[in-house]
Parts: sequence; C-alpha cells; structure tokens
Amino acid sequence: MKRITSSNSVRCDNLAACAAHVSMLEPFVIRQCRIRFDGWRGPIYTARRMFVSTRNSRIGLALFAVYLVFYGAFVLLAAFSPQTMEATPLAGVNLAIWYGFGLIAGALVLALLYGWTCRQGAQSIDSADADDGSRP
Amino acid sequence: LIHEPSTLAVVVFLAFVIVTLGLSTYLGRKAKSSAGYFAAHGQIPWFVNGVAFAGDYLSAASFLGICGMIAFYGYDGFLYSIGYLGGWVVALFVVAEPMKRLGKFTFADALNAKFNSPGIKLAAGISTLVVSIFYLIPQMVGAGVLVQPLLGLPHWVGVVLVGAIVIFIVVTAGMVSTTWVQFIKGSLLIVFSLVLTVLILARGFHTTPGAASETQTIVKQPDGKVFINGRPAGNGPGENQLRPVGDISRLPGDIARTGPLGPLEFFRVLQQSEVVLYSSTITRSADGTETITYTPKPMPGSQILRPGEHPMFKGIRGGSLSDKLNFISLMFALFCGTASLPHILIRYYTVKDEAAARKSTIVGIACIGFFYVLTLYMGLGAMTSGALDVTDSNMAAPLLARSFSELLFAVISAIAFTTVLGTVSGLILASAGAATHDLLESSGAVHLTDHQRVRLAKLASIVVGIVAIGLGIRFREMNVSFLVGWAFSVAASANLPALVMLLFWTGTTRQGIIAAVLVGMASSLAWILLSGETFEKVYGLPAASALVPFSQPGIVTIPIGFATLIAVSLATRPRGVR
Repeated sequence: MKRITSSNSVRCDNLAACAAHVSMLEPFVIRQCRIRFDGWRGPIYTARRMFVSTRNSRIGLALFAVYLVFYGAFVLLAAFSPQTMEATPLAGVNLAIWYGFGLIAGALVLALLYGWTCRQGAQSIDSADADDGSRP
Repeated sequence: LIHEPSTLAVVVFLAFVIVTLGLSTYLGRKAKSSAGYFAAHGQIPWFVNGVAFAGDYLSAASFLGICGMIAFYGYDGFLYSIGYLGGWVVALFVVAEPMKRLGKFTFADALNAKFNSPGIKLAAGISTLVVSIFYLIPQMVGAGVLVQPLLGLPHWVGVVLVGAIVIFIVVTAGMVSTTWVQFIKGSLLIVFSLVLTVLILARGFHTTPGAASETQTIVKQPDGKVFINGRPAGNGPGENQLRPVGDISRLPGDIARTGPLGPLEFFRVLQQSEVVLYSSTITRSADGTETITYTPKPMPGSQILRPGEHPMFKGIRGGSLSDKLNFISLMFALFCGTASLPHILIRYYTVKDEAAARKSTIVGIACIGFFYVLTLYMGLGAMTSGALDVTDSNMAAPLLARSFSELLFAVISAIAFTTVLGTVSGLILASAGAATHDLLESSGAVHLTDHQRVRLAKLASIVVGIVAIGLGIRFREMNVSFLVGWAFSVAASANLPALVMLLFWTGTTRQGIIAAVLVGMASSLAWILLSGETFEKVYGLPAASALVPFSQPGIVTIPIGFATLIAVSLATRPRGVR
C-alpha cells in the first residue's frame, strides 16, 4: 500500500504518477518523501530519485523493444533468408553491410535519444520543483 | 610464416609496460580502503569510465579474433561485432542505472540488495568466478600467442609476463589503476584502428598476378623435421618459409590498381572483385608424416561480403533447422551476455550516480560501436594486404600493420598486448571481489575490517592471477574464440534472468534467484560439454555423436534460467502474497 505523508522534495502529483504507473513501486512504502522497500537493507531513496529511475526504466524498456525488433529481424533474415542479404540496395553495397552498420549506428542513436530524454525528464522535474518552491 | 622478433615492437611494448606500472604505483595511494580498491571511490569521471568500458570489453577476441576471422572468411566475423555491440543496448536500457543504484562492489551486491541473503551472494560469487575464469583463459592464451612471434619468446613466457604485470596493476591500486589502464588501452585501440583504416582506404586495392595458382605445403615428419614447400623450414640459405598471402586476383574492369577509395567505394569495389582465399587439408601417411596443404581458392567478392562462409555459420545456407538454431542461439547469447559479464558490471560502481552510469555507457557504446565498424575495414584490409600468415588468423591485424610500416606494426603489437592487460585486469579484479566480498564474507565465518578486506582482496588477486597463468599455459592449444563464446553463454544463462527478474518482477524471491543462477550456470555448462563442438575440438570425438542437437546453448538455457526463477519464486512466495 502506498501512502504519502509529506512532500518536501517533490510534488505529490509526480510521486503519485510515479507510483501509479510503475508496478515495481507497489511494495514500496512511501514515507516523508523517502522510499523504503519492504525488507530492504540498503540505502533509502528519495522519492525524486525513484521517480526519475522508474521513468528512465520505462523509456529504456521501450527503446530496448525497438532495438530488439531490428536485431531480431537481422538474425532471422540471416538465418532463414541469407540470400536476401546479398542484395545491393544502395551505392553498390550489399544489405548485409548496410544492415550491420545500421544496427551499430542505430544502437548509438537510440542511446543518445535515451540520454537526452532522461536528461530532459530530470530537468523538467527540477524546474517544476523550483517553480512551486518545493525544491530543498 | 616465421616471424622475426621486432626490436621496435619490444621497445614500444616495454614503454607501454613502464607507463602502466608507473601509473599503477602512482595511483596506489588512492586505493587503501575497500571502496577505493573495488570501486575507485565512485569518483571516476563518466567520460573516462565510458572509454574504460571499451578498454575493458574490447578483448583480444575482439581485436585479434574478429579481424582474423574477417580476413580469412569475410563478413562472418562481422556478425560477432554486431552481436557484441547489440549486447550494450541491453546494458544501457535495462541494467546500467539499477546496477549503480543497487550495488556497491560486486555483481552479487546488486542481486542481493533486496534480500541480504548469504545464499544469493554465494551463488552469484560462484557464477562470477566461473564466468571470469572462462573469459580469462582465452586472454592468457592470446597473450602467449602474441609473444611467440613478436618478441621471439616461448608461449609460457608470454603468459607469465602478462600475468605478472596484471597482478602488479591490480594489487597496487585495484580499480583505480585498472580503470586508467583500460582508458589508455581503449583510447589507443580506437585511435590506431582508425589510423589503420585510413591507411587501408588510402592504399586501395591492387591485383597480384599469379596469386591464385600458388599452393603451399607444410610437411611434418615423425623425426620432427619440418619442410615448407619442399625445403626445410627456416630463414637460412636453402630453407623455406610460407609465403605471405592475401591477394586480389581480379578487380572490376580488369584494372591493376584502384588508388584511394572512399568508405563505401571500398565495399563496392570489393563486391565486384575476385579475392584469393585458402582452404587447408591435412593428410597423414602410414609412416606418421603429416602434410598440410593450403590451396588457393579464388572467390567472388560478393560471396565474401555475405554471411554464411565460415564453417561455424555455413549451416545457415543449408536446410538443417538445427544449424539455423545454432546461429540464432549464438546471436542471442552475444546479445544477452554483455550485460551479464561481472567484470563489465562492476564498472558501474566506479562512477558517482545513475546519471553518470548512463552517460558512461553511452560513451562506451559510441567507442565500441565505432571500433566494430572499423573491424570490417581492418579485416577486409588484412584479407587483401598480401601480408597474411595462412596458418594463423590471430596475427591478421598486426601483419596488416606491418604491410604499412614497421613502426605501425610495433605500435599495433604493443596495443594488442595492452588489450590483454586491460581485460585481464578487470577480470582478476571481478574474481578477487567475488572471492573475498561474496564467497568469504557471505559464509559468515569471518568478519573483516576494511583494511583486512583490501589485503585479502589483494591476496585473492595474486591467487587468481597465478591460476590464470596456469590455465593459460595448460590450455595453449585451445581455440580462443571458442572459450569466449562459452563465457558469454554461461554469463547470460546464469546472471541475466536473476538480474532482470529482480528489477521487473515483484514476485521474485530469494530462493528463485539462487535457483536461477545455479540452474542457468549448470545447464549452460552441461549443454556446452555435451555439444558437437566440444566433442570434436576437446574430446576428439565425432561431432555427430554429441548429445545435444546444436552447440550454442543460449536459446535453450537462458529461457531455462527465467523459467526456473519464476517456478521457484512462485513455489516459495511468502504466505498471504498472491
């Protein structure tokens, strides 16, 4: 059960959204804007930190799913239709090389997108906290 | 080929070693506490950590193994590059930030953060040791393989040399010196790979008339005499050594030389050319004489640049489902294995917070991805360099460098040594952490002060280093890439299910994690030991008599790890919890 007794460091709606969206937070007991996991022996995290973490986790899983589709398609294509990889769709370079380079470049693009999104998310929380004077 | 020891290579190598040892000694004072020794106090800047990721990850298998495989078989080696890089997506999107948030010194810390269970520490500690040892063996074997031709020293000397230097690095300053060694190695590897690639493109391609007709033979007599192409082996008068290979027999338009090529033009021209590769056959006569014949095999470039030419991947062009599943299983294990390698995961503890962990992984992906793109150019450049040793694919990258200049050869050889140093340092540190922090302390028999813990970890580093030296000498005949494949499969099967389910399923129990780690590890090891590849290459038995349908375990044993965790967690969930 989730219970919010104080909101010194983050806005309650952020915290509520965080708790509502992420099933991982179900066993957490939220007290004085700090989150403690049942049975947890490690450090206690601030609600802001957990919110950022769970938000990043959701974004990460979505981007992971996108990459998995492209990687899986590459592996299945190579395994079951290797002759397709011999086609030269562009600049006289075959699909095997284009796809391989694409997977490497795609990993970097998604990584940068992830980094940028996470940074934007953290900044938006900081600015929202600053606006309502709740930032410690 | 009979390689002459290169004085320049020895000088450059010694310079690298002196810098490395000096750095370790200087940084030693920063690693007095266990937080300093295991995690560099979490104060490594994220950019440095990102490049160090590349230095840690790009092992001898990546640099020498992949380049050699591409040089001998074409595109298939690049499949490893794609799989190894793909694994970093799992590391960034799924594992990086939680690892930093949950753990302290070792992989087991993160796995055990919720339950504080000695059983989890024990299981994860054992898994860390097993994976690290599997990964250590090929690195040490690779060190010996490099030393033999480059420095003119016996294989065992190379293994002992690398082992001793790495023990010094790890014992003096633990993660602090390991990080900086990996940073230097990662930077040098990427910069000089780029230099090689630029030189390859600037040189372009040229044909070698008559290259396709030169069969070469090695005859080994029972009395130990070796004959090469009909004459005694050696460099003296009347003696012979193998001719270097790696030629183009025809270029598009039947031109003799292309001149400098652009990055895409390089592939387009090669696609339309004909390259001479070599097949080898071994025959043994009744008197025990062994004859190895290397026969030139002109192949269209379009065939070289497609998947399915290497013996391991040939099956994808056949009709056998088990061959295709073997390929899928390998690519699956490479994808899942990276985020499960303990020596990679402990690098997340060296930065200050989750944001730094994320940023350093992005830098790592950029460096590693860029390097893997370059492997295709370097491998194909070596294939057409006219400098290859037909008997040793691991030497492809250094010999490619020698085809440009002796200095570049010396630098690339020294970097190859540093490549081994960087990766082995990380592996020994991960193993020492597992032995002291996970296994010994989790037993509850000893309670160590911080100072004692560091001393014990240093002692464990020495022991693991000595074990690694012994294994490197013992397994010198073992195929190195074969063992790296084992390490990835075992890591992915044992560690990934527990880590992922802990993060994303609240029903995960302590017993579920322990069972998943042990069952994943045991099932993947058992599969490997019963596979056709092991039957053929280790036991010397026919591959057809293997007890499992294909060699790569990942596609079966990783799901087994997940299924075990779910089943045991459901069976052991606390009363009243639905």
